[in-house]
Parts: sequence; C-alpha cells; structure tokens
Amino acid sequence: MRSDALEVEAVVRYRDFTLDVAQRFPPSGCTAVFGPSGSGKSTLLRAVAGFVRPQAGRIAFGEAVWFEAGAGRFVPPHRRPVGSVFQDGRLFPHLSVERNLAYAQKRGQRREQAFGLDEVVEAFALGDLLSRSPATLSGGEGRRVALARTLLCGPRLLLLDEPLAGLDGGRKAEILPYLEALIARFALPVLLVSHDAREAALLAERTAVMSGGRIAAFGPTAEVLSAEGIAGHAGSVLTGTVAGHDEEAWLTTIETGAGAVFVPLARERAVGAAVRLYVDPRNVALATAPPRGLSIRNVLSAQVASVQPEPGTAFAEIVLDAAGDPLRSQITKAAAAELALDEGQAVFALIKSASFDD
Amino acid sequence: MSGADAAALWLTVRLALVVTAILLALGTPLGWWLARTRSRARPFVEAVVALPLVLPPTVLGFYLLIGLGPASPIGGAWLELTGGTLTFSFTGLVLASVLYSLPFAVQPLQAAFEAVPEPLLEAAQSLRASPLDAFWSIAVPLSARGFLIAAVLSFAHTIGEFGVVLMVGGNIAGETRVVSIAIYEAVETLSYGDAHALSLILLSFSFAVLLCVALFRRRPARAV
Repeated sequence: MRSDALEVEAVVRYRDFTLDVAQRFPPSGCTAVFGPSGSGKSTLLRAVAGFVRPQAGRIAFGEAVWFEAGAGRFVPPHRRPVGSVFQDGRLFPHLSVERNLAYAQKRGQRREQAFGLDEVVEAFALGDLLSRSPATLSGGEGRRVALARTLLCGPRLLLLDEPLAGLDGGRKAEILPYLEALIARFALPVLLVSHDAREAALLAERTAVMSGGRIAAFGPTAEVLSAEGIAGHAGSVLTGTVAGHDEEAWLTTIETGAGAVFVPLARERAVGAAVRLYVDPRNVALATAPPRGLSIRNVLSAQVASVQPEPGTAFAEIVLDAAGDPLRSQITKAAAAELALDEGQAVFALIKSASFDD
Repeated sequence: MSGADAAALWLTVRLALVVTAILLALGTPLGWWLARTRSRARPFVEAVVALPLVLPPTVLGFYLLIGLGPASPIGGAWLELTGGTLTFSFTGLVLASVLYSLPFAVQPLQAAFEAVPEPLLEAAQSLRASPLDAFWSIAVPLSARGFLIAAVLSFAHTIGEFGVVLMVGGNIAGETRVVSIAIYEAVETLSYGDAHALSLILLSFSFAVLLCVALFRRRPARAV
C-alpha cells in the first residue's frame, strides 16, 4: 500500500478571519486538529478536501499536487482521493442505507484501495440497518453509516470533522470504538478535527493545535496537549501500553512509567498497544504517603514539578512529573498548604478509574 | 362534438406536450442556475422569467407577432429556411407558448433546487461524484416533486392560454386553432352547444390537474 504525506501550505482569507498554515502531515496514523471553535480547524479540512480554494499556497499529497496558487492548479473535490466525514453525517435522505453505501462503492470501484462492502458492513455492524431509511436511524447509527460510506469510496486520506459532535455521552461511547477500529483496521492517514482534548488524546497519536487560524503547536499528542497554556484546556495526557484485560473484574490494565492504571474494560485495545489516557486535573488527588484503605486503585508515583495557586479561587494547580509525562492535579490551596507540597517532593497521585469511563 | 372540435382538442394536447417537454429541458438548467448562482445578473433574469405572469397576453403576443413576423430577422430567416412563416404556424405557436409558460416551469424547479441542501451535494462530491453526477443522482431525485409540479403547470397553462395564441397563431384549423380559440369562435357564432362541451372539458381537466398537484404536494417523500 502506498502512503503519502500531506503537505499543506494555505492562506484562506475571509472578511473577519484568515487561515494561514504551513504544515506537513506524516503519511500514517491519526493526527488531531485541535482547537476552540473559530480557530480554523474546519476551514483547514475544507481546503484539503477542495471545498475551499485558498488565495495562496500549495497543497500536495505525495506526488499529487492538488492546489498550487502560482500555477493556477486546482483539483476539484471529486478528483481528490479524500474521504470526508462531516459533523452531521450527511446521508442521502432519498436512498436507503444500502443504497447510500452503494453510491460510494460504485464511484470508488476503480480506486486501488477500495474496501469490500462486506468488510465495511461487518466492521461497522450495519447488517441490520441496510434496508432502513436514514430518517429512521439514531444519531449513532447514522454516524456509523457515514463512516462506512466514506471508506467505500476508496479514499487514501480520511478527513473527520468532529465525527462525534452533537452526540450525547452514551452515543459517543457507542461510536468511539468504531472510530478507533477505523483508524487501526483500515490503516489510512486520518485528520481528525476535535475541540475535545479527551477525544484527541484517545484517538490521535499526533496533534496540531490551532488558534486564530494558525497552527500553534504540532507534535506527539501527549506532549502537545500537556504543554502549558495551549488551547485553554487544563488536562494532561499519560502515555502507556496495554498490559492486559481482566474480563472478570471488567478492567483493562495500562502500564505507565509511573505505575499501573486500571480503566474500564477496553477489549478492542490489543495487549502491548500504545495508548494515551486523558486525565482531568479535577480527578487527580494527591497523597504524601502511600494511601491505605482507599477505593482508588490507581496510585502513581510522581514528583511535584510546580505549585501554582489560581488567583481568586480556592484551588491550586499542581504539576507533577509522572515518569516523564506531565500530570496536572487540581486541589484546594488549603490542601496544598496542609500537605506542604514543594518542588521535587515525591507524592502519590490518585486517579479514580471511573474518570476514564466516557 | 364535431370533427373540428376534436381536431382542436388534439392540436391543443399536442401543443401542450411539446411545450412541456421543451420547458422542462429549458427550465432545468435555468432553474438550477437561478437557485445556485451568486451572479448579479440573477434578479434581472428572474424578473424577465416572471414577466409573462403580469403582462397582458396581448402585449407579449404583439411583440412576438412583430419579432417572429416575416419582416423580422428571426421570422425572415425561418421563411428563407422553410418557405413558411413562423407566425400563424404550429412552430410559432410552440415558441410563443414556451415563452408564455416559462415561469410556470422555472419557478417550481428553482424552488425545488433551492431546497436541495448544499451539504448533500458536497457529500456527493466527497464520494467522487462529479458536479453533474451529483446533480443527477442527488439534486434531481430530491426535486422530483418540483419536476412534477413544473410539468403539470406548464401543460395546464399551455392548454389554458388564449391571448398570445390568438395574436401569434390566429385561427387556422389543424394548425393553430386550439380549444380556447375554438370556444371563442363557437360563442361568436352562437354555437353554445359546442362552447359548452369544450368549456366543460377544459374545466374538468383543469380542476383535475390542480387537485393532483394539491394532493401530491402534501405527500411526504420516502426513501427507497
């Protein structure tokens, strides 16, 4: 299978907003395009898909040049081997699920890399939905059909524009495993737009943080999302590997440098696979001695890197060094004072397993 | 009903069929353009298309009579080419009727096309459909009702015209003598029986057509 890097150099000017990016996206794996709404994430994707023609720049995928301002070159969207999944699914309302899939398959047939209908139907568990009309599908079912349909048109690059937007917590949890499987099983390079750090951490190995139409940071997800002050989210990302599944206890063990973390059973993750865990600072408690008689099972050894009281609130942000990964904890200033936390001090970070259940 | 009346009926139906076919072929690209364009010419084109709705048929008929007459460039060229005049002929009648019924085809199509969500056309293109493919596979099926309404209204309106036909076509049996002209003539010659028969046919037909449109408008669309 051929895989190509995506090189984007684009300036798109609107009356009150300018997108100005220059970035090379590696030819495999999932890259999150992360940032607040209005930061240019969707515009970037639309430029790559060909729905927006930049005023300046060059967009190339491997050898193929899709856009070059100087040469006046512009490849229209339907001639780019790009699969787009939109926020709202965009199933064709006058066609059944099966005919929605056939629509893509028919037009993707001659592509080198089109996946088989049976394979895709099985991967997204669509067998029972084939004869249904899109109007009768639940939100989650519709997203699954949209993902499957996009794969059938034979893309060599996937653009997912907030594929979980508008779904409630339960529905999101229903779709996430399919998204993970999509990224792993069909092995296409993916650009995933998201404004949810947890989603980005879960799905993407790389992250581009966007702000005000520019890419403010680009790199490994754990590094980029944990870096301070980026995109206004406070969480941190732990990296680890899957150590095993305990079917009976309904838990999966993730081994991190700072200790084992137990998360709700995630069978679809292969043992030995690298994973990232997004940790909300509000779910991290601290202890200066090994805790006993506690329901919390996840106890990581870490060192205090900094203590920052948040002005005008009851809280302080404690940044820990958890075997190289920065881990943030939000505790009250009073608790920080009582524990007498100091830089370099060894502490135990406690994280509830339930906080990984989304 | 006399043979002459039957001939007038048949001529009317033939005229309406030809005009409807031409109007659908013409109205589809025009309606699509009006629905999607951002051109500044759009309001002008819209106004021109709508003109027959407000102009007295005699005004349109008068201009057509001059524009299609043997002294005009178009009428003259036609005379050279075919040896017959464009005015007072079936072809002239078709031309005049197409112009006269244009808004009845274009407006429902434009409204239907405007209701086709742009995001769906984008989705089609992202699935490798060319813009033309996306038009036929997505926009046309989603606008099926617009097509039906445009066809029915074009057909019915062509059958119901009088003024333009009289101005451009006159009253030549088998060539330009449509039902509405036949009724007018029947009344002029005090043949009220003939006028009654033909009028009743037109009345029932028009009512049936409008009822069909009204019923169809209410039926929800279904996925297949």
